[in-house]
Amino acid sequence: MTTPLLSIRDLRVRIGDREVLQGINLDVPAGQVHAIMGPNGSGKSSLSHVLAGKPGYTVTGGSVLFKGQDLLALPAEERAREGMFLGFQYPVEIPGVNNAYLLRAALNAARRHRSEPEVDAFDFLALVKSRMQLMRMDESFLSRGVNEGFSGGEKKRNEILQMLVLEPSLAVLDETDSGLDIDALKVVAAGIQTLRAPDRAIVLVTHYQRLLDHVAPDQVHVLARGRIIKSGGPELALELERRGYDWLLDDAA
Amino acid sequence: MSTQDPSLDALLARGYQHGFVTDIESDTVAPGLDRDTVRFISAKKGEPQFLLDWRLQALDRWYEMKEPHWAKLQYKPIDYQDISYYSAPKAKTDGPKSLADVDPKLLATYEKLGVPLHERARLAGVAVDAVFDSVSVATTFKDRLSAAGVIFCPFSEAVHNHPELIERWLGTVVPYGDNYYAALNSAVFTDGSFVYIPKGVRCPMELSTYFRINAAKTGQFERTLIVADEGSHVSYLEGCTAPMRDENQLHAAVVELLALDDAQIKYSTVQNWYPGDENGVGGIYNFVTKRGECRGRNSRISWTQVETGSAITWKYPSCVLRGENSVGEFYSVAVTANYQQADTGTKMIHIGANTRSTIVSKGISAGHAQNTYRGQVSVMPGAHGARNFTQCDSLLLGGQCGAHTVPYIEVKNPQATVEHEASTSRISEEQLFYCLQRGLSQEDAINLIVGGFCKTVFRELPMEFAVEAQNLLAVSLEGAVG
Amino acid sequence: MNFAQRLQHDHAAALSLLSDAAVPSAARHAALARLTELGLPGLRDDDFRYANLRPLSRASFAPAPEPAELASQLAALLPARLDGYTRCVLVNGRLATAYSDSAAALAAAGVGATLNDSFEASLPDIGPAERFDLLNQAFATDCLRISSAGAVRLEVLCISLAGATDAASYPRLQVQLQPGADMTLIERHLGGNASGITVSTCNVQLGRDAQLQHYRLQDLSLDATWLDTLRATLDANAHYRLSLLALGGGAARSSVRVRLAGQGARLMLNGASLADGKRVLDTVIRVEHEGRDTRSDQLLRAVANEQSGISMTSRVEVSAVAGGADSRQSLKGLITAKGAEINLRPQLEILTDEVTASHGATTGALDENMLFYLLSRGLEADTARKLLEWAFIADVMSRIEMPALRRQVEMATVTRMGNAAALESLL
Repeated sequence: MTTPLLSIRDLRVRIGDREVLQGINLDVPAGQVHAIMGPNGSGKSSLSHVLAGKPGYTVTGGSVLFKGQDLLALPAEERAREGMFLGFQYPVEIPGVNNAYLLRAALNAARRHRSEPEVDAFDFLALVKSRMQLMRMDESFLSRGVNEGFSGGEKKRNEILQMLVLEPSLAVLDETDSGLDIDALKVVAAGIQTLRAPDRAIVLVTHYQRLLDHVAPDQVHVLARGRIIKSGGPELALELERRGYDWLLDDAA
Repeated sequence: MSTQDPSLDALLARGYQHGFVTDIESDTVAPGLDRDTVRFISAKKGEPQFLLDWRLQALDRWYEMKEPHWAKLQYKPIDYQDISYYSAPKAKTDGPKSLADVDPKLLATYEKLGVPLHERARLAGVAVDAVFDSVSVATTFKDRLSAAGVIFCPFSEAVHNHPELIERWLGTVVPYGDNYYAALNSAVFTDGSFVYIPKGVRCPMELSTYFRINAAKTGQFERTLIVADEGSHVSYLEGCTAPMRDENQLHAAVVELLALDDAQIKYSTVQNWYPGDENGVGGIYNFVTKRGECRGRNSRISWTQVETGSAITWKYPSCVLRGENSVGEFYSVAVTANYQQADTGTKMIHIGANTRSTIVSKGISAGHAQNTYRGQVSVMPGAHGARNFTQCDSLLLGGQCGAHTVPYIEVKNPQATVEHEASTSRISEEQLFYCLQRGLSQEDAINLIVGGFCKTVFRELPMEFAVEAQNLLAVSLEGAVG
Repeated sequence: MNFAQRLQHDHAAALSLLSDAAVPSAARHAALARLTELGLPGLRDDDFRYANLRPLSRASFAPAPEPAELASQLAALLPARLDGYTRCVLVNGRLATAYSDSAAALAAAGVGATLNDSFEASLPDIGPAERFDLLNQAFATDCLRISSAGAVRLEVLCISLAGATDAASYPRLQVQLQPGADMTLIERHLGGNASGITVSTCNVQLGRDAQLQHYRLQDLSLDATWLDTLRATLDANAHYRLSLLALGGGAARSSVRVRLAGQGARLMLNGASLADGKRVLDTVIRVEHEGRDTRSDQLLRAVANEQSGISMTSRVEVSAVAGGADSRQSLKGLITAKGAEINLRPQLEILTDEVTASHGATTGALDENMLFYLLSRGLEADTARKLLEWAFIADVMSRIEMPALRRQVEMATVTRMGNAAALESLL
């Protein structure tokens, strides 16, 4: 196996006095899709947040290497520019900042970071519009405030749209499938599929099998009580769908 | 139960037996207020020199002050020289001789509130012997408190038995020059309550003036001081849940709370002084200064008030949040009906870092009443991370009353968050119709809806108070909506 | 000399400049008398709790004489022309014909018209909070009267210029819209200097069904003192859309009072104050619902940077006969630096139960979740902050319905916020 794109070793994290991650080990090689599943409160969202650098979490031990460098040493914005993308479970509304502006500012920040020229307005619009078509989003979204007044499904689509414009090398999608109806799920899944590439990896954090029906994972991990208690192939997700988590939790206890 | 316990006797007796009742039963001082009046009061109570000096300083300050008129209240000018500032408790024969002499309207109210029979007599001012059922309650009560080291006694008793505590803490939260009424109170207060909870003690029961015999006669200028030492907890209930018969029109009480490190004080009030009649005649003028200081780290002071009485209410129970991480709370229901006027609210002064405060105010106005919420949230430059949330709602019943909201939000720190929301509306006709359609009477429907409007405040009250507050609400609004 | 003596002295000295045409002499004397009676607001005066009135203790009230040479100073101050708008320029409170449109064009826009007698009487009273209007009445050197029955687009630029001596500037506007009239009025206060105060007054009467879109932009220099009063009355079904944008002045106080007198009258008020340095910007608004089914919506935003202080008071009064009134207030403050200060007072005074009234007010720092979202998309921390500060007042800006004016205002705002480069592409 080549060096993984993301390599997490014995990661321990606290929120206040509570240890939410109690020694996570996980390797995600480029070209793969990994699913992280687990019951509510198991630490799935904490893991996503810590990878993206959200304030409020204290890393008490372990390491995270992303493309061979210490991810935890970087501020949130540099992680993003290095190609680490978090799809939020609950994307915040930012009235007054329009979607187009944010997309362009984000894209150019990443390009400057890679010493590439900024995109001009014309190319940018062409790029965004093509991605919006894929996500079946109306162009009027561009001039609206970021997530402002969006339905749950629209917010999730907007997250995937941002991902498709930014083309990150690692996308961590935190429950992107929750709150979506069947049609929206298909659109979102198709969007995720287009990002799959040999030099990229995707981590899907999810409760359910249904997204995995459309985006087949290479590996499935079960996170419970702050630890990965079982890993396996796609068949593990199907088994979880059938049997729930209790049998695993009993084994682990 | 042991009635031989001398400390019990002290508790039961001193409130009205101590000094003045027996010695000076016939004394009354002529109307008017000057240095001699203050000397007279202090001498009658056998006070130490420091207290007399303090009273005199307060009086001097009061002379320099002007009566405040910024509140949205209208009343005839008060002639402060026409009030008698000291009258010995009246002979027991002055009041109604029996329940048969009491205003039947008052009795009907007690009936509705479910006040026990012997209590009805006491509340109505009927001369009853002080020894009734509550004695036994008071006995157990006293034993448990002394075992815990808690001091809970009439203020005048504390002056004699714990002068060092009084000298140390009196006026440290509400200085005598704080405002016009506080200065007046400081000069002429006659009695009140003193509470001291020692370090680390969780007061074993709710403290209540209800159990303090003779509480009704502590007078128009009541003074209460509660000190919660480090790590202690106390819950204090003030007031009376039935209309108190009272001949004093002007009331100007002062309540000071002080919470040291990790201490918690919960102060609950149900105020139902005489509001005047349906034409706005008579009623108490209630000008109260209540303030708590969270002086210590992690301390907490919580005010809960249900104000249904008085013709005029001027009252702003406040919190000075000095200690880091300290918490201030204010939960208030103010009901005004007929010609009542209430100008009430709170001040939350954030001084320490990470201090938090919550304000929930529910104003209900009916008839010709005027109800004002006046509140101030100040975040000082050092209060990093301070947070306040204020919810302030007014309900109008009828087209001739008024509801006013006057918040001041003053923030001098970039890391503070203050949120204020307010609404004013009348009872929703859909809600009313829904209840009527389900067979409720109009009055029951209104009570139900108003009760729901007040629920967030009522649930902060101790259980038995909450039930009575709900009943009081119904009584206050009776006939307010036609 | 005390305040009263200074008033008398300066007034007597300036008599030759105070024409009856601007304000009749009897009215000037009445105003002086009333102002003398009210005096300067004291420290404990709740109406002026947050205003910086210190410059008044040394200011001269005498109106500035007509400046001898205008061209060089004015060129830098006059903003670009707006298509379709008649321009009218006041310099130190006097109409400057050389910089305004032709007399014919001004007349076509209703400038210089005679107002109906009902005008003065219709206005809200001058209360203690509006007392600086009395100062304007006493010392105004000119009065721009505008009356229109049709559709008009007019821009009034009130320029205060530095003079050789201490002197004040007294712009005075009277606007009367006849029933059914429709006007867009852009009123800007520019210039300013340490040696003189600017005391402006704008009085507005909207007849039945009249509509006024009124943009007021104050962008005076950092050392300027501005004392401003706006009084307006709306007849039945009149619609007043008022934007108050305060970016400038060292010590600025604006008192706004709007009477919704007629049934169905409606006020939409959007205000943004943005301050840097040690500016103290104070806005006090009073809206009186008197007619039935009247409505007021207010959106007020404040961003205090550096050591500045911004205060916004908005009192809504619903009288006992104003059944069906509907009032909303939203006040938000953002403090971006240690040493800055924001004071908000959303107040309600309600005397009828047939009403819907609500207000919300928040003050605080930038939302951490929003900030993290932007950072997680790779934006620079400083850019992300500026962007969120911008977004904070964006809802007020977005209600400036004229693109050309909005662009001018946005540029002025961005310049005031610093890091203009990061934000310019936003506009």
